This record gives sequence, structure tokens and C-alpha cells, in this order.
Amino acid sequence: MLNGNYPVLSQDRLDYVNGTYVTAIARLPQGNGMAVRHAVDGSNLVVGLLERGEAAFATEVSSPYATYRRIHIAEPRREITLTQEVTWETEKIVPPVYVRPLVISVLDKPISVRLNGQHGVHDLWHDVEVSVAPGTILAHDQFWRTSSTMESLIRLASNDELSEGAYRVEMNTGEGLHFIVQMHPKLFWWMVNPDKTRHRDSILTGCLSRAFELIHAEFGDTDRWREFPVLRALHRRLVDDGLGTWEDGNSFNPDEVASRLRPLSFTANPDD
Amino acid sequence: MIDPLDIETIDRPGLEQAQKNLLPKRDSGARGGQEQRAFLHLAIGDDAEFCRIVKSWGLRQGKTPPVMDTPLSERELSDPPWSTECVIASTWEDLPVNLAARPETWTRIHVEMIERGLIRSSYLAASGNGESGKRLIARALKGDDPQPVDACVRTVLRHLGGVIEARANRTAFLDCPLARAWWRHRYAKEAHKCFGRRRVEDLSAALRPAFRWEALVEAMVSKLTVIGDSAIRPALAQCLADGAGGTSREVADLLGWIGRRTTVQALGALGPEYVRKLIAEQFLGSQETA
Repeated sequence: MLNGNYPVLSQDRLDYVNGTYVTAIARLPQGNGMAVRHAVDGSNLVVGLLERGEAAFATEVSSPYATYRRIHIAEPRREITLTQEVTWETEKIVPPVYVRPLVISVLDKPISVRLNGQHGVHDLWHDVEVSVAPGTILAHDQFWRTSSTMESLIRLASNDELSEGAYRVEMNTGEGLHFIVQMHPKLFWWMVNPDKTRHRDSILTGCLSRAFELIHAEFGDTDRWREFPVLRALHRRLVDDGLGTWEDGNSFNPDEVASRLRPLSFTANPDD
Repeated sequence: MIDPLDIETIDRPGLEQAQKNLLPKRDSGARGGQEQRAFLHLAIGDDAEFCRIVKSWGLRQGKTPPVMDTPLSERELSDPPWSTECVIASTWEDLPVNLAARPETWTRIHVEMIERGLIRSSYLAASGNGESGKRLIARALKGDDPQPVDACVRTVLRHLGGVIEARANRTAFLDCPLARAWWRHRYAKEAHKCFGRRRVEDLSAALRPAFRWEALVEAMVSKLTVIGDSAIRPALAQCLADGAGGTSREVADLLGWIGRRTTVQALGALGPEYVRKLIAEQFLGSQETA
């Protein structure tokens, strides 16, 4: 019977003293997918299993709003670094899409391993016998959103119904949650190609401040915001940075918090 | 065969804004007010004006959605039986998942069905206990109590496609009977294709009870998304049809067990048959070895 009693190579675990699992995610230049770079190093159990072809790199793709989840397993090549390309069909997913890099066992049957110093694990694991079953998660990274949090939060859009120089911030829960900043076409194009980035940053700070106001008004007295991963990530960042959050009631200052997050990233689409 | 990516839908921001206007917050004092009453008058009117208003919330351009050939009764719309579920599945067979998950798609589909005379807008207010939508709306409009008025508007919007503010992106799966039937059929077919052990009808029936369906959707969309894995979900549907998860408590235990197991073992990588045997061994006392 499998239980959770075995070491996992991960940034948030202390099981291993010799080894790291480092990943990097990049969008594929064409189509819908990601290039996931996996790299395990050190002298440890995970490296040993990879080199013997008993473990493989894998990537889990998840699109909760489409009830889609799938694990893509890379062909085991007895290597400890690999770039894996994973793709998906546009019509089968609803953004946001998350990916999680993994190393999993690809054994046919469970094996038993008595851990020792050569497995790269902490002293506490020495002389412990563990069972490695098929599919055991040997190493993992966090779930990555396929677009970064701040980039996806603010989206600029061109709107010729607005007066010159005007913009309007609207909340949209259609793709996870994001804020569309409707802008007069001239302002939109200037934001995309600014002659003064500090001026652009100031406008974006105003947009984010308004977005915080909307979050505060919409979710300030409930915890429904936790349903949106982008808001969970944003909340975590605010807490980590020692800033106030929309849960602080009237003491939350959207303008001050927004100004502390400069410079901001954004996406721009004239057809939004 | 229609182009799957080119179906006209209601505009998402427009739909959200309309729902906010029609469903004021509890402490706003606007519940049971003129806006809600006017909307119910349109719904009970069973005419083109209701469709015109919904379309005025905004349209995302595309082809006119396909609809079925024969009208649906109020009961069939509120809780589609197996025969209607088959009609729904075949009518929107080519509907892509990324549209089927959205309330704006089903809202537009309902409007098309009303315009073609296949359903009446008052059907959308029907309750689960057999009382007609027309009677419920009439009773709400007759009294001074804002609660039944608000409840009626909420029901119409839920059945039309879903209420985004209340249940975010789970709403189409949970609140819109047409969408619910479409997804249920899809999951049943998925399990049938994997195992071929039971008929699609039996698998769909296993997913039908509200306590199972709601737990499954809540898990897949928000709380335990691994349940939506292409190997785990069909195995789960098969085991439900085989007798697992007889109560809401048992379903919660089942989902919780899978959730804990997947933190240490990537079940999705092992295939549906492996997962089915594993669940059967744990919850059906099966002697099959995973």
C-alpha cells in the first residue's frame, strides 16, 4: 500500500540535502503550449531513478474551468535535464491554464528502497525503507499559470467610444479574473509604445488602484475571491510584501498599495 | 457539421452587468423593485421582447446556434430525462468545451430556442417541484414581498445559462439544466469509451443525483481539480455506476481519498483502468489488483 512516507525533491520540502529540482516555463512560439525545462542535479535517489530509466519527467496541465486535466509524460531518456513541449487544443480549455512540472516513477511494479546517505536525503530518512510505486511523485514544482499573474491581471483594450485621453477599468471574470482597461485608441497606442515609461507607469498605477477598489467592493466582505487563483496569488504577494489587502475593511488603501507595486506588467489587445 | 468555434454567444461583460443590475445585493433595498418586476413581466409574456432584451446585453458575433427540431415541455427543460439528454447531446455535439463551459453560450442557445418556439421563456422560472414557471412568476408579481420576486429572477437567470456572480465559472455546470445534461452526457460517454462495461445511459444515471453531481463539479472546477483528470474522472464515473458513493458523505470520502492519494501518486499517469481498480478495491471491496 502506498502512503506519503517517502522523500520528495521540492523547494518546499526538506527531505533532500543533496539535490535540487529546477524548472523553467516558456510559451511555445507557435500554437497553444509550453516548453517546460526540467533539471535535477545532485547525488540522490531521484537522479538514480532517472538515470536507470525508472523515473521520467512529466508535466501536468490543468484548466479547471473546462474540467480538463492531463499528465504528459516525457519519454524516459536516462537524462537528468530535459526540455519537454506540451500542447493542448484551444477548444478544449478555458483560460487560465496551469502547468506543474513533475518527476514520477515509471516502474511497472513497486520497489522497496532502504534509504541511506547515498540517496541524498536528510539524516531523518536514513535506514527508513520506502516503497516506490508506479506513478509516485518523486519531485515536483508548483503550479505555474501559463501567463504570469501580474501580466494577466491588467489587460489594455482600445475603445473608440471613449473621449480622447480617457480610460475605464472593468472587472471581468470570464477567464479566471482580470481587469480590462478600456482606453481611447490614441491613449491605447501610446501605452503600447510610450515615449515616457514613467508616465505610463503612473497611468497603470491608477488602473491597478481602481482594480483594487473593485476587488474591495466586490469581495471585501466575503471570501469568494479565493475562488480565483489570480486573486489568491495577488493576495499572497501583498501579504508577503507587508502590504494591506482588500480584507482590511476601511483601512485598505488601494492607491497606496498600487503605488507600492510599481512597475506593473500588462497585456494589450486592440481587439479586446 | 457546424464550425465549432463560430457560434454566437451573449457578450460576457454585458451578461455580467445585466445580472448585477437584475440581482441587487441584499442590503441595497432594490430587491423586488421595478427592474426585477419588469424582467419577470417579459419572462411571463412568452414573446419576442424577452429575447430582444437578453440580446441587448450584447452579442459576441458568430453563427446562429443550432437547435433541436421538436419543442421541449417545461418538465423536459427543467430536468431533461434520458431521451431529452440524448437530443441535447446530439444537437450540440459539435459545441466545443470552451463554449459549453460558459453561461453566455447557453444563454444565447436558450434565446434561440425561445425565438424558434421550442420553449417558452416562462419555463425558465419553473421550480424543481413541478410548479409551472408561469404560475410562480404570476404569484411573485401579485404580492408585495420582494423575496419571491428576487428568487424568480434568480431562477430564470440560472436556468438561462447561470448566474456568474453567485457561482462564478461553476454556474453553467450546476445551474443550467441544459448545460448540466450536456456535460453529464459527455462524462458518461467518456467513461463508456474507456471501459465499455456499462451503457452510457447507466453511467449518466449514476452522475444524475444532485449530491453526486454537485460534489463532482465543485471538485473539478474549484476545490480538487485533479478529479477532472482524463484518467480519474472516467474511473470515478464507472465506480459510481458500480455502486460506490451512495450518499453525500460517501462521495465526499471518495473524492477526499482520491485527493490525498494524488498528492503522492500521479494517478493520471497510470491510466483509467488502473485508477478504476484502485477505487474499486478501496470502495467496492473488489479483489481486482490495480
